Amino acid sequence: MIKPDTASLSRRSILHGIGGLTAYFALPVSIRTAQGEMRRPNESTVDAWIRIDPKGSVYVSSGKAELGQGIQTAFGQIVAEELDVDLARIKVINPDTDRSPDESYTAGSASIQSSGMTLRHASAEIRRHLVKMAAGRLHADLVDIRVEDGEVIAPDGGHITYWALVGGLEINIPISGNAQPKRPADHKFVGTPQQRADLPAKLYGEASYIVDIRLEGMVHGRIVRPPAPKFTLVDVSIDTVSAMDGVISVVRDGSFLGVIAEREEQAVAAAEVLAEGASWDIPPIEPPLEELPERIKTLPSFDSVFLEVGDVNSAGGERFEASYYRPFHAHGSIGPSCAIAQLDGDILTVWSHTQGVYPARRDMANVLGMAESNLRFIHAHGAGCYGHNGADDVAMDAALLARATDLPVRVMWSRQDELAHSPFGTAMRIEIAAELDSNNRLRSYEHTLWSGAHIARPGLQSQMSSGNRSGLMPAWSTNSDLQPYAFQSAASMFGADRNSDPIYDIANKRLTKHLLPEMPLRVSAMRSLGAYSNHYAMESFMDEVAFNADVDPIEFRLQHLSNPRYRAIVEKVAEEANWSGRSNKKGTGRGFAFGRYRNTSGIFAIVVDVHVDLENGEVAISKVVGAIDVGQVINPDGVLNQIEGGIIQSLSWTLMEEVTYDHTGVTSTEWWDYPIMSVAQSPVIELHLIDRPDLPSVGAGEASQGPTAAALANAIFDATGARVRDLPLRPEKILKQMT
Amino acid sequence: MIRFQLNGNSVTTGVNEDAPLLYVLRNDFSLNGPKFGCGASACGACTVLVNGQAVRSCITPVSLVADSEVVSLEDQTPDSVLSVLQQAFLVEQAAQCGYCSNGMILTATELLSSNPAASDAEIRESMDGILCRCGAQARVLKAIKRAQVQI
Repeated sequence: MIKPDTASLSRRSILHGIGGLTAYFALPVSIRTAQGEMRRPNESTVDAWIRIDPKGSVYVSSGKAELGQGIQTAFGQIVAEELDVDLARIKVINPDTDRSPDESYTAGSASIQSSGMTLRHASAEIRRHLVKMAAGRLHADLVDIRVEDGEVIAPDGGHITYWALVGGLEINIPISGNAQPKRPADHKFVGTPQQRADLPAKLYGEASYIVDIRLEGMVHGRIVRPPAPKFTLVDVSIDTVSAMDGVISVVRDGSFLGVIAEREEQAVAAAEVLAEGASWDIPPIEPPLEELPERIKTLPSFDSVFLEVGDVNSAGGERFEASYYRPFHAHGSIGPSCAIAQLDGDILTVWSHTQGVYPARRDMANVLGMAESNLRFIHAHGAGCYGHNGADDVAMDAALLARATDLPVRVMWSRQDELAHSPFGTAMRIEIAAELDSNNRLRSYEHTLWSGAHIARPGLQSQMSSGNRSGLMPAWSTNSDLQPYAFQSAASMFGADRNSDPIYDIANKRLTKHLLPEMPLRVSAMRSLGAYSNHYAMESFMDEVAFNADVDPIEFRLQHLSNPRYRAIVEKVAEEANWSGRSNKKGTGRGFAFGRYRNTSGIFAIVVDVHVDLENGEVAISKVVGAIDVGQVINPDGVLNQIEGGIIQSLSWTLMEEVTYDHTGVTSTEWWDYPIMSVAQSPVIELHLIDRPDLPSVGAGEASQGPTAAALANAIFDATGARVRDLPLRPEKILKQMT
Repeated sequence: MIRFQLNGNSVTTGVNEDAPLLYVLRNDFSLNGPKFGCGASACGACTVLVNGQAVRSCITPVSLVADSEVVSLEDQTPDSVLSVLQQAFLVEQAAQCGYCSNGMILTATELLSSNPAASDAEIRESMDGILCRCGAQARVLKAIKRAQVQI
């Protein structure tokens, strides 16, 4: 059983009086080195810290959350490397508003390049401090000293451990940011594969997740709401539910409806009866699902040409145009969202698998009319989220129920809740036009996109221009004036244009976006934001143009890539996949795609092999070969796992996924309505990682999403001649395009 | 009172006999291995072994396991097929968030216990009902094949 420390303690009081060395990152300056930037965490009452404990452990507190991406393991490698201690000594603490720095959200594949590099510099400085202390004690010259697993050793054999050095003392040091980290050539932990620190407990059934937290007296809550984005509770029968076994309280606040019971199965049963006795007013969802692919272009929008280079007007080359569509996608976490909230006097403590304890707290405090300092958010591991799923909302649910009792209330969403109420990845349309000159070079490229919002996370109220807004869905149905975000300008809508600017050498470009503040369904961040759709469209388009020009698709990319780093990845995958051009075999095909996430992050190229049954259009993905460059690699196996997972997830989105809805709300609320790629459908995956120890580390988590989608579409085209430009790539669409 | 064997120990429970086995195991016996995923037998996160068979505990009333032998991810029998698989999953790092691992490992335990030499096709077919969203599927297959060599 996890026994969290529930008292609301300040960081100073947690760390005061327990001895050891604690280093705070209150950086006076931001420094930039070849090995990455050191950043000051956002303003907050709590600094980041690393603590050298006299008992031989090193505690690391950052603001980034473990989401199954292995960030805590990578942080451990970075800190162990610079401190010269064994990995097993490093204990990375989950974000907690009472103990951790405010690093906003764990998002954008950015944790290594921001927090990781800060930890690297801070650890180097702590080592320098400790070695200096040791040199004094050992009467040795600094330059002659070496450190082995925290033991400082002088040339004459004299030695003392970090733990002994700090024992009985209470040392607080601010980090100045001026210590030099190790040279990559000296790295021992960084760049070598390490097993994930959190996996043994998870694989052997030890308490690891938010769902494994069992607090004294904990009771169970469930929420009742229809599977629609907007709804009003017209009427509900509460008396029969209140009388059910174990029911402690039925909570109604406007259209927010929930129940608390002693046992989990009692809460589930009570919620079912409550749902049966509730009637709802659900406004029509516009536009209807089947009309959205076309009407998405006529919805109210903020329009801008956001990049114009050279002149895209026709110069008389061969012109190509194509239009692509991506439907709504669900995060589809395997574990539905879960949270625990406990109100103790005027202090509310919330355990949550949120991606951002501070912004979630900021939003929730506003919703509840509480001082932020009276609200403590503690992160606990959850099932993978892949973006903004229901984690924050269920925390709001738990908090609203917790006001009805002084017991800790645990709320877990149902599968239907998770697939209906987690925000979706937005539908998008992308139209591309380009002109090819007589040398088969793209003279111009125009990319026009229509997209809903990609970021509507909690805690962004200050960026919304008016009204009392919240990013926490449950707040919208309470008896308050809280409303969902209303985007007032293109500037408040981020992420739609991610990877719409081709990384290829093209002289004349025009990029246009139409941002749609109102979509039929609730939308927010999903892994890679707009990059998935933009890459899918762009890399499909490149394949189409190459085919029409009768140029090998890889050769066509290389003709537009002068950067040697990009060429290396493309050539690597071509070599490893034994690329010999399009297969042009009926029913068997291979597709290629390339991309650099955000044009600044992970560089990725992929070859996908498929068999397509020409009778029924069924696609079997037989093999995937990929190559990846993320600069200096911290944990090679961690990078490979992220890339491999991203490939399978993207294949699943692309091949089979589509959120459906009708006038009653979301209809894809069970796994059989929203199938995802199964074990049997998964391909063999072969990956090749190019380490660049002398280049800055960039993120890996989202690099494979977009190119994978296009490579699959291109492989299906190669196998069948069918170019399906609206996702998912369903058999019936493939068959239709073949005839 | 319902009596059953849980990871080798005899246990009893007086809860409502319709209560899903999953909630009894998690909330009355503090197990962490079986997890709620869908409540409809569609994802496998809640899998436990009942008399050696992989069972979806979210839709199994606790009364159905009366006098049966229930084994969960927490079972610590030395040299068991389960333990070999757990070690293989660790070596292959066949997980990301790990939420589906319980169903993956226990379903593979059932398979390799009855068919240690299962073919690739048989493994894929047996594992097909366990959903993973992180994309660990390919590593899961590798881990099972690694375990096969050691059983």
